[in-house]
Amino acid sequence: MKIALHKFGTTLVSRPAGKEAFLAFQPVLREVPESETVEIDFEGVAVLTPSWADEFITPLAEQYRGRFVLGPSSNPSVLATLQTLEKAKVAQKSM
Amino acid sequence: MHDQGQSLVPIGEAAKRLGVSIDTLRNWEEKGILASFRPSAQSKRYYRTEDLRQFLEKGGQAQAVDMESMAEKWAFAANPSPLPSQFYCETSDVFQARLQRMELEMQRVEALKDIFSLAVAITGEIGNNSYNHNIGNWPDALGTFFGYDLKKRKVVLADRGQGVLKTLKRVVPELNDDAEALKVAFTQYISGRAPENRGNGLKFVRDSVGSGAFLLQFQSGSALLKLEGASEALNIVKTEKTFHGSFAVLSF
Repeated sequence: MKIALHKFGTTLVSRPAGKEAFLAFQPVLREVPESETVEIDFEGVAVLTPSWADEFITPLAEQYRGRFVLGPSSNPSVLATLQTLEKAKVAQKSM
Repeated sequence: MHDQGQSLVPIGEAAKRLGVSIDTLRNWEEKGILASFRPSAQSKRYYRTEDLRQFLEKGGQAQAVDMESMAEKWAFAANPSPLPSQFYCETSDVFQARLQRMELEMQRVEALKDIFSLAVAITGEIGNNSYNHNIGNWPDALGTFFGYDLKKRKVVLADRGQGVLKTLKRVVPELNDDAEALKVAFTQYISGRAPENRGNGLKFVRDSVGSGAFLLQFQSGSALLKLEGASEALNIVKTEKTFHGSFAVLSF
């Protein structure tokens, strides 16, 4: 399954908005077959922050560990956000 | 007969002209950012073409106002005067709506096309931090000051919240002073979510400012952090004046 982030908005900034998106998307996620990959599609996203991503992407990555894929992006805020999430993950593991 | 500026356009056409969705326009109306017009109570919403023209020309930017002084005065005063409504974001949703408007205006400036996404993301993280860590706990005035001037290439944010030291101490009790708190906030990834949801927004801000296009001054309590370009070292100085909130100026 490909999750098109722009369908949640093109400016994905606040923590409450990320949480709301995650909760609202749960019914759709329940239909994903166990063998299927879950891919995040960043196409069309203008602004992404770690606050929004931490409420949406982080729990999805956890939920679909092993079959979770991040699509490509050249948007600077998407790239910087993914870098921040990765650093936080590494720091979490080392603690 | 209506002149050109007084003519009305339906909401769909207004959204098209401004390059935003109909939902965004409804949201802006709710927040008092751009008003629509209903010829009668049962009528659909219309927009005056003159209002749309002015919105595109003037935008939400500060007009001949020294934003920095105004924000600083508000953040540092013992008994602050109320802020002009154009800068005051009492709640987070007002801030989000205005941030989206800033994004729209930045996208229209050719010279800012490459940096608008990071500028909006940095502004969003600093502004949202104010709400996330002070909700239900503001010492006095609620909300934030948020102003921007794209000609001067500047964003100004301030709050009268509890400050970084006090909120960060809940998860890092060993912190001693404001300078230490700023250092941890901008550099250390903190594990554990309880007792409060502590994100990594300011680490992101530091890395993004480090991409080279930005300069950030961030003050909380009596500590002032200056971040410039790709500099690895954190430059934190102690200030004479202190206050209980936070105050940030982002230049680009």
